[in-house]
Amino acid sequence: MKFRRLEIVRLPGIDASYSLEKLGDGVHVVVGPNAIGKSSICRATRALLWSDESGSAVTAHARIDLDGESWSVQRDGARHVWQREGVECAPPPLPARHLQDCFLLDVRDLMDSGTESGREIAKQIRLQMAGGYSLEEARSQAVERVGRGFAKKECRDVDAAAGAIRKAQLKQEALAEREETLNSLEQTIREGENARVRQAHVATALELVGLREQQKRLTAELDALPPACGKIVGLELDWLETAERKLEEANEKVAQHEGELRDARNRIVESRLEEPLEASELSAWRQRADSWAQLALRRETAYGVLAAEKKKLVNASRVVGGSEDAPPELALEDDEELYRYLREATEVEQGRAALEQRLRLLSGHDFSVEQKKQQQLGERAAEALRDWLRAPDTGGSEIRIGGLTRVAATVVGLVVAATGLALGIAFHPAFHGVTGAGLVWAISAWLLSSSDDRADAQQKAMDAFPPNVDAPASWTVASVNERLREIDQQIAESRASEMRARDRSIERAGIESDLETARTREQSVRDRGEELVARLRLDRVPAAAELVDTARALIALREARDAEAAAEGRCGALDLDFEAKREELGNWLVGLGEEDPQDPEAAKALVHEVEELSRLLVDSRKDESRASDDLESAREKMRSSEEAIAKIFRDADLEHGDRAGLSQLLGKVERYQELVNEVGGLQTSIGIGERKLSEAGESALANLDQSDLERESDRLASETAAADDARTESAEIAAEVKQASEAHTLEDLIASHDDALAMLADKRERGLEALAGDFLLDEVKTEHETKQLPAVLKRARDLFALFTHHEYELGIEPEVGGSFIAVSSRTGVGKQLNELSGGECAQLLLAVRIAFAEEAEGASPLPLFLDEALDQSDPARFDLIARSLGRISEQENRQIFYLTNDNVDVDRIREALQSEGCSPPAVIDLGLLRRGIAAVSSAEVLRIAPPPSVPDPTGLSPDEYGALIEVPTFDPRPAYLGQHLLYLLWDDLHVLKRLVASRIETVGQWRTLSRTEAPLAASLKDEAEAARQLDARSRLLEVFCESWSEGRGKPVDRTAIEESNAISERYLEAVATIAMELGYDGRRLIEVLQSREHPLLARFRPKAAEKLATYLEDEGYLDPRPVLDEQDLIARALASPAARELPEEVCNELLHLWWQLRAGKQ
Amino acid sequence: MTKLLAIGDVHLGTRPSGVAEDAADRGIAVQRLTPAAGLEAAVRLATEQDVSAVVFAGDVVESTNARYEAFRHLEAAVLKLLAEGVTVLGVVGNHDVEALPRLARLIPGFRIVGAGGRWECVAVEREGRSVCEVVGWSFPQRQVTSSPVADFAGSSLPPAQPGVPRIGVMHCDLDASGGPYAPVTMGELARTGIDTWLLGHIHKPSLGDTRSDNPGLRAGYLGSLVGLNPKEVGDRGPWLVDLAEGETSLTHVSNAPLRWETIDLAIEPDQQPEDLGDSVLASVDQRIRALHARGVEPSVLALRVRLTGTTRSYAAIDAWVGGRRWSDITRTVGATTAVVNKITNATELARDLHELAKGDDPPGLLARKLLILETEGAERDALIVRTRDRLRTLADASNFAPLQDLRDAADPLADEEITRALKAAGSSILSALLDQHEPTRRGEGAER
Repeated sequence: MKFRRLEIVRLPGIDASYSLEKLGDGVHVVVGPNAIGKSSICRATRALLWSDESGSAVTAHARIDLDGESWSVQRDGARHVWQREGVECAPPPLPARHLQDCFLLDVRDLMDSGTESGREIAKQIRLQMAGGYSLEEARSQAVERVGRGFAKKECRDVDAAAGAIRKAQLKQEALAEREETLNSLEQTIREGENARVRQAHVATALELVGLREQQKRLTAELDALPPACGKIVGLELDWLETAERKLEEANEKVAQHEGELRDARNRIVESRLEEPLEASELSAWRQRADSWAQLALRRETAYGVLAAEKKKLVNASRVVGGSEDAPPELALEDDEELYRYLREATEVEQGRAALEQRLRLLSGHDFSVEQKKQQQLGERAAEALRDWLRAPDTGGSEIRIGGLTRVAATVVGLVVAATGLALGIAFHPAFHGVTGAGLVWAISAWLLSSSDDRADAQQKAMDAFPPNVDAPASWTVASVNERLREIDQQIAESRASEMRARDRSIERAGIESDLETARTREQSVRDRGEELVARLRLDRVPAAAELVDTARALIALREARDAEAAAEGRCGALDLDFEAKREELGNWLVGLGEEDPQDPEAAKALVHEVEELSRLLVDSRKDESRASDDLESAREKMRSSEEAIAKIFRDADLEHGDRAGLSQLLGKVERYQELVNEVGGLQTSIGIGERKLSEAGESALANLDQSDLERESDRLASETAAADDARTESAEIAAEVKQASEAHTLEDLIASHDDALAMLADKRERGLEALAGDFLLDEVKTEHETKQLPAVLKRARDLFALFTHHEYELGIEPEVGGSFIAVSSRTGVGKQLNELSGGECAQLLLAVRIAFAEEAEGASPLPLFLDEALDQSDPARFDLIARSLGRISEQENRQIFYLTNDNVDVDRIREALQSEGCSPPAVIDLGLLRRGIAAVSSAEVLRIAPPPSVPDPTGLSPDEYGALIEVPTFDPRPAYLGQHLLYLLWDDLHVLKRLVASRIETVGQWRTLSRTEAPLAASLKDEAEAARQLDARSRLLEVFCESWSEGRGKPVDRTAIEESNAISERYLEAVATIAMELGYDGRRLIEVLQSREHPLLARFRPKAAEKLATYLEDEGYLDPRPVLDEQDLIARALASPAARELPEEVCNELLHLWWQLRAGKQ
Repeated sequence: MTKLLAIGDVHLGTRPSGVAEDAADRGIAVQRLTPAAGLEAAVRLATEQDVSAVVFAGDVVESTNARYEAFRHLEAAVLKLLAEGVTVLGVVGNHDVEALPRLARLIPGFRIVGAGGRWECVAVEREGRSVCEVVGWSFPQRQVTSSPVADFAGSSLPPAQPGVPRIGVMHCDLDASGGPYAPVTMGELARTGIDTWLLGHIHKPSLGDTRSDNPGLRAGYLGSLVGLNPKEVGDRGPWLVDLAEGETSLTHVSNAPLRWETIDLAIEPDQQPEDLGDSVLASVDQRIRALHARGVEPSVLALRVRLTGTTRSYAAIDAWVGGRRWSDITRTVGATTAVVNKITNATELARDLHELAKGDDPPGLLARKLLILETEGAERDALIVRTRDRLRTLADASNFAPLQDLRDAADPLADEEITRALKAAGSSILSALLDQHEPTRRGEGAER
């Protein structure tokens, strides 16, 4: 569809009608000042084509060529008439009215990103792209979002757990280190104990020092006193007086003892004995004298006894008839025989009398014949009664056994037994049972058959009862029984009497025999008595009592004769002994010069005298000796006293008898002795101390002076204190070790760490699964877009890339309602319409609407009306758009009207179309048309500066060429998309030149370009190897930049610091300045802030640094990962898929180049 | 016949983590589930079995907690064994290279075999005569990059005594291609002439595994004494080694107080989340009874449940799993209490991916991706590589650097991990996408 003529008769704001005539096919530039009616053209067109309601006040018409036919359309208020070839007809198919903005674009439309048509276009494109499915909705439902801070919490938990473990380990290590010191502590404790002991020795040594000092002082004082003070004790005057007194006493004693000596010697002479007699000898002679005296007494007594015995003998003789002088010859050698005879005679006589008495008692008690007859009669009666009672009671019938008589039964039993016996022997032992049964049968029958008839038996019994015996009262069982008991009683009594009579008869026979024996013995005794009487010459046998008296008298006579003989013998013996003793004593006394004693008393007196003389001699000699000793002792005392007196003076170094000198000397002795004692005491103490030190092996201490000892004491005190501390510490360590061993602290922490690791692993798994989901969705999306990309979007994307020098790529952002976005080819970051500059926004919507217009209009392209649509574009972009419009016009045979008030636009469009090889635009000067005033005053006004040319790289090194075209320094930190293409085409600067000449300078621009169907990209890839590798090189650069950025974080500039809200206004400027000084290195900035040593950071709060650090870490400004070195970085890049698409040498060259460029910068 | 008790990695000074968040509230004393408790059980077993010696294969104590908390338990165990007349031997592992020799010096009678990285032969005696010989080597430092067995032939070990069996003990990385933990090969062990090698280091027991390449050689890991984390599943405990001339029998005694298990629970396509709790409980009960039937009665059975099968309620099940509505599931049978440590959703959508993949819309394109993962090939590899490139930044992020210290840490960028993540995420997204067009789903009701 092409407008050939457009006439506007009436339109609000148009005061006079005007028309555009002879409109051509291509681009028309309608130029004119504001309010001249440029926009009215659009309004009129809108009213004509889409019956805009605002067209109620419109009157306009147009002539249109459409599909080779001539159409006209007229709008007159509400009247709207279409004609084809002069015939009124229905309007041709046109895009829906809501799409009219696609064809009628003005600045306001393009600047208004929220217009209904734009959103509608975007929505329809999006739905068309997605095939009815919302991938993003599915993504939001099924794929976890993996943001920048993904797994940060889990990582922190792991770090915290690891930190806790490390902390616990450090604590344990510290404890272990302390435990290692236990030996040392023990050593310290032992040293302390030793020090404590040695300290006592040092104290002793210090005491010794004091003692020695004191001893030295006292010794000097002592030396100043007379030496004699040391020999005396201070009591010498007393001693002197005592000695003199003793001397005097000794002299007196000498005189006394000399007198005593003389007296003793006189008494010795008086004793007449030459030597004293032994006491034992004297005692023996005294006893002999006494013995002689006692012997004399016994001799006198013996003679008295002899006289008495003689008298007894006379008396005894008289009893038996003798005279006084001639006693009878009667004697009895053995008086016992007489007594024995008397006892036997008495015994025999008594025995015989007793037997006779017994015999008399037993006579007259024999069992008579009558008694025997009565007894036998009773027995017969009793037997008869028993027979009567035993008679059997048959009841009057014969007893039968088994139906047989008793005899028959007995016979049958015997037959059966015999038969059983035969069978048992012949056949089987079991038949013996039959034998037994037969025998039992026969015996039973036999026993029964032996009984008599009762009546017969009773009668027989009654007949047998003796007639002279009382019968029972009646012949009944009771009476018979009663009578039988009486008769049995009588029989029993009779039998007992019989037995007793028989026993007495036997006893009487025995006694009679004994009596005979007794009588025989009595006769024998009587014979012995007669013999005895004969021996005593008695005329008869006297009675027993008489005979006893005679025997006694004979015994007394015999005893009197014996006693008289014994007494006489004793007298004779005493006489002999008496004479012998007298003679012995007499000889001894005469030998001593004494008289011969005549009787024991004289002898005793002489012996006593001898004893006295001997005692006198002994005592005198003792006195002599004692007096002699006392005399010598007294003389010795006298000499001793004289010597003592002399010694006192000699010891005092004085002349003998110098008492005055002695008195003077004694005045100093007390002090002398005090000094001596003190010095001695000191010496003792010193000795004790030295011995203690020696025993402790510390003798050396005794040689140290006081200062050394005090230093040693201080040192030892220090060691003791250290030991106390060590003991405390040792106990603490032991307690901590015990606690550490019994706890589960580290075990729990390790488990917590493992749990945290497991959570982190789960998180990673989820993250990877989410990324895998993202990846799948992206792949599906890309694939779907590739296969299903709507033509309108593809066209719009190409146009937008073209309009923006491939700086941007068109996208649709589902998160903002499906609106369009512009994705920077430098950074990959998408910008919404409200984030774009006015020009960029206009370019985007222009591209979209042109593309959509193409899609919506169908086969016949509608004219495009652009009302100052490029007003916001810079000259370069204006040029690009204008070229595009020219190409669109040419390629699509589309009529384009560009309405502008800027005269320069006319020339720009003309040059652009010329550069693109398009027909020049038709210029409609609306000012001239309507007001007669030309819009363009001169051609000079329309001239614009030509675009800068790109220099040729021939002969230049990459460095030189980069400097020439002002390529920024290589910096991997920004996104790789913004890197200059020089760093990818280092080896083909001509390709670079061509790209730069087309304003394609960055990697991002190239990637955008390469995705479009721009002929430049295709031609370059056809012509140069480097260009063919550009996609792979760009991906390699992507890996390099990402790897290089690891651990480096993003630059922290003022904006980042402000956005953190961590730094107060007061310090914001200072912190921003420091960040700049540090090259925007976040890590170093935090270090400086935390140290607070920078002069700009006075009173800066550490918490602010922590807050800033947290923000920077969360937002990626701080990267905790380690920085890769060249080797690791290149190794990782070489392992990437991009590297596999490139020749190895190219890879290596580029990677080393980039590393060196970056290193060179650093 | 002589008996030994062999104990693998104990790691005294640690305790299993993550049994249940509220273990104490459920009456579970985590202090009775520790390696120390496992060691007590092993000591009781040694006494009951009247063994001649107890042999530790390294990593007896956790180096980070060796000095105090671990030492107490080791000392108590060793002293009890010594009091029973049991010889106690051990080699040093990479985890206790400093700690174990020091502890051994403090516990008279605890003998380190091969201290300082040399080969040593120690005779185990009983009643005055040698009953077996233990040949061992100990880590001299934390890392040993060469094979210690390479020096075996040149070592000055005495010749074996006639009639006295000889076994080998060491802490090493078996069949590893290099690495810092004493890498050795099975072939090297076979050439030592010792036919039984008790190894420490890897926590998964493998001593009972048969090896076709060296059929006469019995070498493998004793495994950890107690499972220290949810990945250490299955039987854990010491090994009874019965030595006889020409015949050695090995018996793994599963007496660890804590047992980890992972069970797959297949759900029905129409099963709803509210029924899942009962299904899990039934499965747990069944697992406990199966263990008891084997004579294995741990105090605590900690389970990880993996929901498998296909479901029409993927999003709801995912929400049930993610919402941890299963966390209070507890079951006690006899002396065993089971808790659920984690439930993961490994179900798949009950949709015909092939039918979906016929379309060019997003579900169709996504279904194609999921189908690509089903079949090995260049296309699958390329998808994994692209995903790995995408995930690498996050996987390598410094936040996750601590995970490198995890025991048996899996490579998050390994093919199988990426495949799993893609399948899980893909199923979730596909479910969400299809929910947007619920009435017009294609392939509805079709199950694969």
